[in-house]
Amino acid sequence: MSHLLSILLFLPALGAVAVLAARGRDAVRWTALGTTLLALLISLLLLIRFDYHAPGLYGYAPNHGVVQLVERTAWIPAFNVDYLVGIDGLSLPLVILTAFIFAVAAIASWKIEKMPRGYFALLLFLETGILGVFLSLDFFLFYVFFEISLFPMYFLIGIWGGPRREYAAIKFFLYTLVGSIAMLIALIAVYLTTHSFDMIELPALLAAKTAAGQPLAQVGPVLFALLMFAFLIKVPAVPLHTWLPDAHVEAPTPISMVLAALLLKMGGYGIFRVAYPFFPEAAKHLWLLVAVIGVASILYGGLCAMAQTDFKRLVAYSSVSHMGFVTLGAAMMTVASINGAIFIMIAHGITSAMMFFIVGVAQDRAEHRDIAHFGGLATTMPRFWGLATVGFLASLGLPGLCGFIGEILVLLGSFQAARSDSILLGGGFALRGSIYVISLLATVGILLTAAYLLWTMQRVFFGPERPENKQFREIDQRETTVLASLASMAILLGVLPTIFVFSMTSKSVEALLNLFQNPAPATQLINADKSASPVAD
Amino acid sequence: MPSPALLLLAATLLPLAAFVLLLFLGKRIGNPLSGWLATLFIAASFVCSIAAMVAWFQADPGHYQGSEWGKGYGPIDITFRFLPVGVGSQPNGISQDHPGYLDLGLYIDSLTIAMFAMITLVATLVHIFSVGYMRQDARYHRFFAFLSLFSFSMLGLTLGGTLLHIFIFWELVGLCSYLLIGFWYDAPAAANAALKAFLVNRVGDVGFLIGLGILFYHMGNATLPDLWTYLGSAGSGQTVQLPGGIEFKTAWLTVMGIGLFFGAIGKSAQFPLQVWLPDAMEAPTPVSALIHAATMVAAGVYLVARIYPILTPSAKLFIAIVGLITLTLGALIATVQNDIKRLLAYSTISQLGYMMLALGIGSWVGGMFHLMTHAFFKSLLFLAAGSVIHAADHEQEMTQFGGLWRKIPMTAVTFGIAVLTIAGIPDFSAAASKSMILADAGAFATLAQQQGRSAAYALFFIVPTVVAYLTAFYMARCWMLTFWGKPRNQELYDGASESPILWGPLCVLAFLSMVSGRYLNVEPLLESSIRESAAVCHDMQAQDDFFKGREEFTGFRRVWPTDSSDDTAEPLADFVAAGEQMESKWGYWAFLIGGAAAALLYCRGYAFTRWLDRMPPARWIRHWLENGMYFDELYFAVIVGTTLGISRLCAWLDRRLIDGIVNRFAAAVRAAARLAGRTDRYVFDGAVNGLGALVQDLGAAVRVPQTGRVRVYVTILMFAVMLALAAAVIVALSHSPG
Repeated sequence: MSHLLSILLFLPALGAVAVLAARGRDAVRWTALGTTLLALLISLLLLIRFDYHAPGLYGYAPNHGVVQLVERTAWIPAFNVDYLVGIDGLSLPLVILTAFIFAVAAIASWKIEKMPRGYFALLLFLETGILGVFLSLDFFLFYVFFEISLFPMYFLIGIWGGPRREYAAIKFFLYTLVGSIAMLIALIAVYLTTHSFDMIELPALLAAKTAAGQPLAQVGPVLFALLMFAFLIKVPAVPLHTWLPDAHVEAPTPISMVLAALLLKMGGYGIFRVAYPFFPEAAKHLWLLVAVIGVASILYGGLCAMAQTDFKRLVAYSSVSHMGFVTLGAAMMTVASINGAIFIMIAHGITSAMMFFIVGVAQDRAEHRDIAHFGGLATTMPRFWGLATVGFLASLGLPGLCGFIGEILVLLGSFQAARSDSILLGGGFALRGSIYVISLLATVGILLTAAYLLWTMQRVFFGPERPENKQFREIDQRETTVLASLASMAILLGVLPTIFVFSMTSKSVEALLNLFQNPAPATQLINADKSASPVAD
Repeated sequence: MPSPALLLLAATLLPLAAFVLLLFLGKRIGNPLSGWLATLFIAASFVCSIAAMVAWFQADPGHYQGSEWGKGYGPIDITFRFLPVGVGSQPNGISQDHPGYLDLGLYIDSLTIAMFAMITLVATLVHIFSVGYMRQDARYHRFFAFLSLFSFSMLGLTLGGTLLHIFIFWELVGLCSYLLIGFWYDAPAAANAALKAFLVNRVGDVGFLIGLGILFYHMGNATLPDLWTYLGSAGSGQTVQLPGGIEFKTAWLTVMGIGLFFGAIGKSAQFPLQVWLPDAMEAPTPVSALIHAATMVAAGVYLVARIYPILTPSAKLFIAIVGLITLTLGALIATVQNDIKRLLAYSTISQLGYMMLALGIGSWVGGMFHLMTHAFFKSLLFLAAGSVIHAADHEQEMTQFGGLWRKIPMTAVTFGIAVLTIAGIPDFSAAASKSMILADAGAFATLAQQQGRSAAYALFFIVPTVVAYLTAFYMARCWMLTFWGKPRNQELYDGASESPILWGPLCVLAFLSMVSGRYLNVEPLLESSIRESAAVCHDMQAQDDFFKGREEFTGFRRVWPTDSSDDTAEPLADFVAAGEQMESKWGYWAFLIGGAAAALLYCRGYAFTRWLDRMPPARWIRHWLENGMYFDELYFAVIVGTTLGISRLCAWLDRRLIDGIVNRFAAAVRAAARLAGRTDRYVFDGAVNGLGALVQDLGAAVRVPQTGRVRVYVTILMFAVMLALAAAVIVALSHSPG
């Protein structure tokens, strides 16, 4: 199966077309579900085809940088744009996560009443868009998919959302678009300098140009800042996060799940795939800014979450807080912290999907989201409570569940950055004191998370059963399936993180850190001055 | 006989199997069968632990010669690869098992064997008790599921061979505590207590993580023996040299030690994080007996015992002071409590303070010995209290008790045995452990005096001794008010009764409380543990060239307050003897004096209290103590209030300021768009339209003469011709000669 990735990529789009052609609500839903399940199956096939011992993507020496299952065809030859897709240890877990979450979201969307055909078609187009972001290795193609994924989301929020859906949709769209424009500027600059969009070669080419003293050396930090601006909006990082609460609150439940689980990861993925490899020197110089943004997201997001009375808004802010760990992990540049950051992306994908679904169930029963008016649900809906407990505990980072692994690695990784041989300290980019302060503040963050999550669980589930809530039906089979599958993934990832994630990511992380530790040797790159590169795939 | 490692692993996993079984099939299995099933599993776990102990004693003579009891079965150290932290993080090559990874691990020595036996035994008895106690409960099977999960977590913690492993199970134990305290979750008090317990523990965990982080970045991946071997010289107060030229400065060692200890402060309810334990009494009483007396709260002490060799003298002093404050605080507050469970909770806090004090002053064996004996007599006290509460139809206030010895005699007798034990009656278990602590405290104080340190060091002996009297006093008071005298609530008294399933475990525990001091080999096992660990470290030192020329491992030796490294082998024998003398002089009769005082003062029930209340100072002190010295109120106002306030500020900021900027930006763009629209309409388009108007006007102006009336045209023509003729005449005349 040579074109596995392209099949995976375009299958949902074909499914969308099939959905548009289908007759009748049932046909629509089953076609959509079938497509997502088929995509999931194919992504699992990728697990089998993946070579776990191959080194990761980046590096400078020839024959480094192994990307697997690559497919390359010329697309716009005049500008050196190829259709180039491939996977490595960074994108594979995210691809599988995408397929899994969309399957779960399809099940969660079963009860959509309004225009189901349009809904499911848009959902499937969205899946193609997101998969495209994770699979593409041509910068132009990456940008295209990055933008494409915005449209279905805009419509999905704007048509099927809550009372303020138009405001939330346009805010989401324009805010992230502003970021994309920043990325576009960087894209053009990169092309003008290197005449290539090939993300496999670009780190080496850019490093060569920087070493050769071209204008890029001065402009590099600016371009890095532009790229980070684009991705930090998506992550979302404080203070660029305010689109998220509104988008999440107004979006329908399955769309919130996809938004939290996947769209936010596009930002994190962009940091590790684009911003950091292309401009490692700038990244090292600006680490403190990124770290401060990360810690601010953790603490500020947690504090805002604590003050919310709307259940969904609270979960939205908790997403901001968790993704702060990703930003922090990226900034600290140690093996542990980057592995942790990637793991958090996967783990948060699962836990946030679960949390939003929990909110969705509660909202469905009560017709409101006001935490103060819930209460006693553990008595009314015990099975719901049991599964919800797994969600809450995974979200707050209890060992044995997925949230813990990422958090502990990021925290230990931040401390690890204080070693004399770390990238930050060893290269003289940081003072030990600042690393300690950052690590300390991040550690306090776990206390906040536990506080607001358990307090919320108490307000919603514990206490005497309320008379107005007595009528709530227990979760049915469909809802149990969604929650149970997410819960089992949370447990599996928490107990066997190496098998499920780290076996794929460790090599990529090492390769990425190699870029930071070894400045590009000028001699090896003399050939790289031309657009052809010595880089193999 | 299978290896102890396998047996202990089986012992750990059996309760987990029970949990999974009861989680999914509990409802179907029903009440009471699910309880008996859980009991079966934990009893099997106990059997495995005892089998492991037997195997431990019987093994062929092997590597380690140090122990008489653990003959030849040296400590077992196994690691499992877990989290990737990079090859580059370990240039010093500590712990070669899985380079580049943080490991989970098992470490089994005599201490582990002893802990397993104790935990599984107490757990089995509590399970049996719960079958009777929880019989009426609707969620009976869920209770046993959680109890099983807790047993698994606690045993997993005890097996832990790396600090990460311990931390993981540490949190799991906290989770089980949360679930069990909040078991009756429809009661807001229980839900609040559970939340409080978890969050206060998390505060401690923040410290734990900081300690872990500091340790991690110096040492990378390290099992417990690695820590002891490489950091064992921390106890002498000097900077530690690690392979690879890395220095671990004393200041950082102290911070790390205190950080790790902070986790223990949270878990073991030491000052200042003791506030969660009294509220945790909302849990069903068997839970209080198992978790909040015998095991979970002991986990903090266990952690300190395991990290003992890597603590600097400053860290140990800190621990000792915290222990000192805690034991006083707990005893003082317990003296005036009227809720029997709260009284026992504060008593637990006090006893845990004793254990921490012991570890801080260097009495490793004393502290752990007391942990073991305490497990037995405290769980006995709680279960007996449970029997009382059950008999009293869930009343917990001693003001309603009185004279119950006639109605529930077995409970009264076993409770009495426990009271005598905790008071320190000679030959019962607690006397042995407590006298060891006091003796060591005396030795510590004497040595400090010898070295010319501040006189305040004498407090380390005086205070625990005085509190020993107080302990005897308040426990005897408890017994008197509950069981003696006239019944204060006749209805309650009439309805009181006890059943064998409740007092059966009590008798077993009473027996254990009596004998575990001398006859269960606890002390030899503990001393053997020290020798085994030291042997492991010596072996590691022998194998690693790094240690050539460095001092031998002495980490478990009692380290007294020294600021020089001149503590040679055992100069302490004299001081130990002096300490024992002090203890036998001052502390031996504490049980009699304290107990008799309480018996006298409270033989008429609350009469004494009422007499005391007539004096305002006594009343104020009583209120202050009864409310736990108002710590809860202080913390709520300062910490919770502040945090909630800040969080509301942040949310407001987010909505008004940050989002306000975004919205205002959008509004500005919209205003600019309107401006552009108006500019377009009025200026540009206006210009275009204006031009058109101008052309039109011009045309209109030019069009004016075209009236279409012939007479006008003729008139104009006539005038034009006349003008032309005139012009011609004038021109002709001007050109004529003249």
